[in-house]
Amino acid sequence: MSLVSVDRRTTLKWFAAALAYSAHHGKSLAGTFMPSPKGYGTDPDLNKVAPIQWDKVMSPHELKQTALLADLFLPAANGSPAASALGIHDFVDEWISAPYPEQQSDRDIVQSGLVWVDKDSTRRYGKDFTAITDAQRVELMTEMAGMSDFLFFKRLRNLVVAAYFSSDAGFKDIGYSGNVALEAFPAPTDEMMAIIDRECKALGV
Amino acid sequence: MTTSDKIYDAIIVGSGAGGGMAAYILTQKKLKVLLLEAGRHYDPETETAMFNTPQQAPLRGVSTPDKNFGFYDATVDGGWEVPNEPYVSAPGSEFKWWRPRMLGGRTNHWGRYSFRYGPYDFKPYSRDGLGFDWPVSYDEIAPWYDKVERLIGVTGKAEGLENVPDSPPGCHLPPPAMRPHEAFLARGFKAMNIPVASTRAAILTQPHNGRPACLWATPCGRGCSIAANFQSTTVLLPVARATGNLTTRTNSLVYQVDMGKHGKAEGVSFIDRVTGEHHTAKGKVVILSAGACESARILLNSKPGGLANSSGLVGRYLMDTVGSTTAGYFPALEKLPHRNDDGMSVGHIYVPWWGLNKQKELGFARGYHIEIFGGQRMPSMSLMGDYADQCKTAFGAGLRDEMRQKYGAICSFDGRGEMIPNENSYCEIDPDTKDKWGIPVLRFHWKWSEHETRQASHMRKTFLELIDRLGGKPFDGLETDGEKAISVGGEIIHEVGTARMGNTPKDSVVNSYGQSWDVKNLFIMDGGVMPSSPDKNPTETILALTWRNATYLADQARKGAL
Ligand SMILES: Cc1cc2nc3c(=O)[nH]c(=O)nc-3n(C[C@H](O)[C@H](O)[C@H](O)COP(=O)(O)OP(=O)(O)OC[C@H]3O[C@@H](n4cnc5c(N)ncnc54)[C@H](O)[C@@H]3O)c2cc1C
Ligand code: SF4
Repeated sequence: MSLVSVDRRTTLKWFAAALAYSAHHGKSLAGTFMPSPKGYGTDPDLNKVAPIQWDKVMSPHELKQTALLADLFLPAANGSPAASALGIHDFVDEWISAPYPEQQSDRDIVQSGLVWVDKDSTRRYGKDFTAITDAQRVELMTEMAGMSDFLFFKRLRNLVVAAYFSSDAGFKDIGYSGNVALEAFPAPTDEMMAIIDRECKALGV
Repeated sequence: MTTSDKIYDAIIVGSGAGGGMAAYILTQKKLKVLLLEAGRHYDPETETAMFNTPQQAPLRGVSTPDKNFGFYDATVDGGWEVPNEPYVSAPGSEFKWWRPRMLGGRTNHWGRYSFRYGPYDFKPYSRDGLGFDWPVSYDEIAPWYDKVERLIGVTGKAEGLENVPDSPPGCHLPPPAMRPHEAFLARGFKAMNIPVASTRAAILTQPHNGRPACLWATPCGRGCSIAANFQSTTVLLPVARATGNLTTRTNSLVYQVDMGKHGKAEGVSFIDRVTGEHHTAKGKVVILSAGACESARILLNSKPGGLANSSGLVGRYLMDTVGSTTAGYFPALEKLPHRNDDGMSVGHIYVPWWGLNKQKELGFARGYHIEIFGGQRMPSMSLMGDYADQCKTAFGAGLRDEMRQKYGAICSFDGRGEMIPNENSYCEIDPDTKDKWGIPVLRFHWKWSEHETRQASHMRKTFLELIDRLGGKPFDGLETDGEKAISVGGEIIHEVGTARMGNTPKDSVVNSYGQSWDVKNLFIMDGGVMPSSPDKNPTETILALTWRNATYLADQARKGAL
């Protein structure tokens, strides 16, 4: 998606929320800016980014659970680091602790999900999620993946994978080779054009 | 309240596309100009975070209520909401108003799609009986488009397409090569008999007027510290400053045009946003370039019933662009090897409106163009989240493999269409709400007609057919009911039409030079003057009209006719 169209989508969601509020209060407040306490504000220095101001909400236990889960989503493989080695669990903490609406809704989803994970682990194996074996954790993940309406799994998976590949190390891992100055923009190679031609012919276009 | 005794030749309100161009022309014509800008001073050279990666930003740089288009987006102190400066939508209406508060305005982070309108776009009423004709024709404006393109640098190719004018030789810069996914999509469009065209963008594909070429990297929405794209702050204001005829005052929020003797404007009143103090400034001519809606607000707040409003049309016939987006995932694109798809931020191709001769059978008047996004672009939270959702593997090593395989196979399509002006879409002063300084704010009324909702439906159906023909799977923007598929008013950020130009004082606010019929030393130089809102994004036309109208103004001033 174009950057702007993704962001248009996100901000539309806040607007829907603001409108619902105003319908309640008989007046539209959609155009009123409400500052987010401890947010980075509307004019942050983009080159010297200040450390985030909001307090992190995860307990050491939640962080440990999140690191384990993150590594189940993206384990180390053939020289690629595991998610926890890139600090993805800390990023999830930064995310769900943030004072903004999307992140705050994720806070509820993630923290209540982590409680559920321990409960289920204790029910099945008599121990919390951090104390069971790797094989048991895989079993539990498989169970969660099969629960079609389990928002926690879907959301955490999305957060972990997106955070991983949008990191500098993730760029390399997925094969992004841009963000470098070029003299000229190259046309597709003959090899690429041949692939496109072959695929299009197979599709009948 | 402080008053300065100095009388400027001209006061310009706002420093974006319109205000920047007005300053560029008038200072070179030796007028002493005071430029009042509501936002703070802004320097793209030092402030743009060109190569910074998401990892260096809070929350990987995602959009938040503080920075609506992401952390690195150039917008300062604004977005859909501006601190201390609210606006309201009337019950039953929804309108979104994008405003930054910075020198150069929205030209710092605009998308850079740069089109000239076509001959039909100036005479829409004559063609289909809807809306209003412009008091000028394409042929009258064409030379001014030429000047703008030669100055700012716009890519393009002569395509020979109806109502998509080719520029004279030497105007357009060479367009960039297609990206691989664009070559693929072009095949699909061709199969649907839809011609694609080289992109038209205000981005330099070669050095131009002392500015370097694009680096084929770094998103334009962050601004460009090397001035390889068009921003008022890099292309217009430095030239105006160098004349020695420009005085700029930032953090100056104008709320009123002050009237003097003989029905002429004598200056403006403004608030210093930092100190809260009121000031006045005096000028022989006043030019409003605060953006279509804000310029209307200033007129409406200047006197009961509105200044320059004998026609009753100030704030009326507000238009935006019709928008609708669909995203799809294309397995065929997985076959391509890794490549660097950054290029210039915009699509390297786009699809101009192809249905001019089918208007009757389509069920809606006018048309739209398609902007395209895709390829192996810089991973962001939202883009990678979309890929994650496309992967079937729930977790484990296979998930990583699938991400790698799919990366580069998502493309999205933005339809951008013409809205016909209507009586139900307008802005006025809200009787209750005031900004932090007690100035009444705007209230928006908005309604799309069937011409727009049917168009949005057609956009979606076109995107879905294309995705289907190319063996893809759509995953976002599937709804084809036009009422649900269409953007919110204002969302596409192309507001125009609140002070339209025309041939008579009865049916327009300004004449064809943007000059108020009622107050002859008062001009509007922004999108407000447009009688219609063609699908082609408006900024190049704002620049061309302003060049022409500021030239006229300088001429009249010299003759003492204002
Ligand atoms: C994300 C985005 C993408 C876009 N993409 C495109 C595109 O691809 N192609 C295209 O053609 N257009 C695009 N646009 C639209 C384009 O930015 C506008 O058409 C253009 O900037 C309008 O010029 P303007 O001078 O009317 O307003 P602006 O450029 O917004 O300038 C208005 C200036 O006036 C100042 N101001 C406002 N009120 C006051 C006041 N009361 N007193 C003093 N100063 C005031 C503002 O702070 C601002 O600096 C895009 C816009 C955005 C935000
Ligand atoms: S893509 Fe090119 S023009 Fe745009 S910001 Fe980057 S270098 Fe500048």
